[in-house]
Amino acid sequence: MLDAPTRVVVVQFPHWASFASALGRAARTAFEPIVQSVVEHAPLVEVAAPGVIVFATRGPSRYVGGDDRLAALVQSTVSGATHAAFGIGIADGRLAAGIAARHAIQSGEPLVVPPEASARWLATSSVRALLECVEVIGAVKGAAGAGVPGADDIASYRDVVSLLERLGLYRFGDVAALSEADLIARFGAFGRDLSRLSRGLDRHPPLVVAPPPDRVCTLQFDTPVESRDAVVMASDDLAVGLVDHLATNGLAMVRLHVLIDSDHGERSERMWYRSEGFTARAVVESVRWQMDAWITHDAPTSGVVSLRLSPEQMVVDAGRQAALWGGVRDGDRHAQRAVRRVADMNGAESVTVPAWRGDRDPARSFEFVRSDAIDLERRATGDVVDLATGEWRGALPSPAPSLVFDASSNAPEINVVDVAGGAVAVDARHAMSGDPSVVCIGERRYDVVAWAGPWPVEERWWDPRRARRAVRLQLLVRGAESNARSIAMVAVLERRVWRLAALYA
Amino acid sequence: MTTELRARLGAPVVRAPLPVAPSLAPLFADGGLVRGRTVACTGDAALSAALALSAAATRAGSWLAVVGVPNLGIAAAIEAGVAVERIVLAQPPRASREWITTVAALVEGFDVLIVAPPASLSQHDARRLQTRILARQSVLIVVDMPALPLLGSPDVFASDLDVHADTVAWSGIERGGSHITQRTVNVRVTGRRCAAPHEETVTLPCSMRQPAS
Repeated sequence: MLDAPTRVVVVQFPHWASFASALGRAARTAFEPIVQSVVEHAPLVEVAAPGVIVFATRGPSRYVGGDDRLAALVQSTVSGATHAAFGIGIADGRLAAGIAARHAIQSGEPLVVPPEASARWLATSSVRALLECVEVIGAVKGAAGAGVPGADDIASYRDVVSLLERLGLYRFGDVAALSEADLIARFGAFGRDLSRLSRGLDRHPPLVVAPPPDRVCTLQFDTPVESRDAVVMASDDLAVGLVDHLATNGLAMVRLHVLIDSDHGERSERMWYRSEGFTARAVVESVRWQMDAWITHDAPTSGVVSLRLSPEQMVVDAGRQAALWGGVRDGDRHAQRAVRRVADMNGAESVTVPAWRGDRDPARSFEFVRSDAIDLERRATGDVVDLATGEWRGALPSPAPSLVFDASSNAPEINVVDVAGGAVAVDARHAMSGDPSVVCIGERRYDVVAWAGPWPVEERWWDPRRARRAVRLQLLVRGAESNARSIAMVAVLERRVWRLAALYA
Repeated sequence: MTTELRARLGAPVVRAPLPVAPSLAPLFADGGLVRGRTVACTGDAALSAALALSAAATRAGSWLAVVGVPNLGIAAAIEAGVAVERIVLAQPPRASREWITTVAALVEGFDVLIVAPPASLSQHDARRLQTRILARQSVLIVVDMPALPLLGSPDVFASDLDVHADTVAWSGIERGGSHITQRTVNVRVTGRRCAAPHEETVTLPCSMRQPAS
């Protein structure tokens, strides 16, 4: 009796599930009202994927007076919430309930398999039902990590089903007749699940002790993957699986070790830390970040063959962890939440925080770090010491300009003209060809009132590839209009082109 | 008593104004930036003034979001006294709809927002944002710099306060000598929520310390 399967209700929306992976977050959002309608009857629903709702019958059934009553109630509420086709199945164990729901989609009436009849009922069902119940029973373990299934998992189930059929095992009854050991020998770790599933049991036996979770997730690519995005996308399923797996154990990881191996044995490994616990998104962003860094700095010579995520430190998931020391104020928490929302909307790279880098170029003395790479709360409580504003030799003198443009990317080209009407040139001894008299920015023309410089900028002269030779000129200019105010700016001359480097706005 | 009544009536609880630097305090009759208001910063020193206005608040624990100013000079923000660990820069899409959704989301978490709105922003969207600011009791600082090359923004916000900051003197710079050592700015505060216009001449970056008296 200890190993009895949980009696569950499965509500399945066939069309939803097939579009869910394509729509991503939008599918989840659109599915939410339906979930809410079911929550009226059962507070503890599990949304395995958009399109599938699972919950235990135990409480709700007793409350409304039986499984049939519960099924009818859910049927009427859900049809009130959506016009989409769906089916409701109730049975012992997720697979049986999932198959029942599949039948119910066709008949339009909920299907309730009587208690303790699941195994018999399953015995006559085709093993192909595995394909239709991926979301309900979870992914094939070992194929793409445990957890929420994606398109890959359906493919791996397809392999399982095709193998079963080739072995002459068409119905779950045939599979149940085999010994668990034989199935494990043929299907690996999934064999055990297969055996349990076909006997009408849940995949995992009920836990007696708190699980020391199988925490390390590895993703092996059959062929080396060259594209960064492909690796990042693949990590998504893995991350979701890992985070959900830990969350079901009431845990959240705060320290994550990510290991990426290339086909040529090159390796990138990094430790990631998040005091508030990793969400799947955070894991994926970490992988993306690490891949970027690896590609830019080490340039691996071949594709990625494996990706491993191992949580190194876990905490009991209390929703959110407080900072290590110092109080986190409400304001810090709110700011962080807002930043995360905006990062979700526009991409993490659209929200940045400044970090001191130290460079003479005003546009590069700070780098903008993607907000998801930094723990804003820890930063706010002063734990992160990565900001210093020491004097940097050759940096612009104070006061600092409030707008800075990076010469290598977004600095607009301008014209600095001398008294004679030609562009101001600067010779090797940093002498100007003539005093600057006019500055043209776009269509606008400004008279030069005063200037300082030219100041030479010679960077990395020892490295012919990255060497940079430029001169800076601080200019005070005034528009032609009679009431125009003086505008202060910094212009930089590099490779005979003047650019606007900074504005004192 | 009043607080309790307001809470019961559903009106926003009036929270203390956000602090401003001592040298700017005489400009604000309320002693600081009143929450829920929209401040329009204009003039050639608009951005510097906006940073100076928000600096003291960030030091007191408020978060500052700078929206749509991708080239913000962080060194200038630090000089202005902004607590750099509580500054976040956001570059939302310039399309009006996306821009407004992004800023509305940021309002939820930030006490002070310095924004350079896109040219496409409609008056309707601007008002919606202001309603949000009022509800969340943040302060919106709209930076408007039409006098400067490459910059400028639409005049679609109904600002409560107008802060006009014009540089009156640049010290140190000559024709070919020294460099800018100090900037003297005339700051004028007017607007529909300002009973009497105030005017002060300050040097930027302004000191965060109380002037010795």
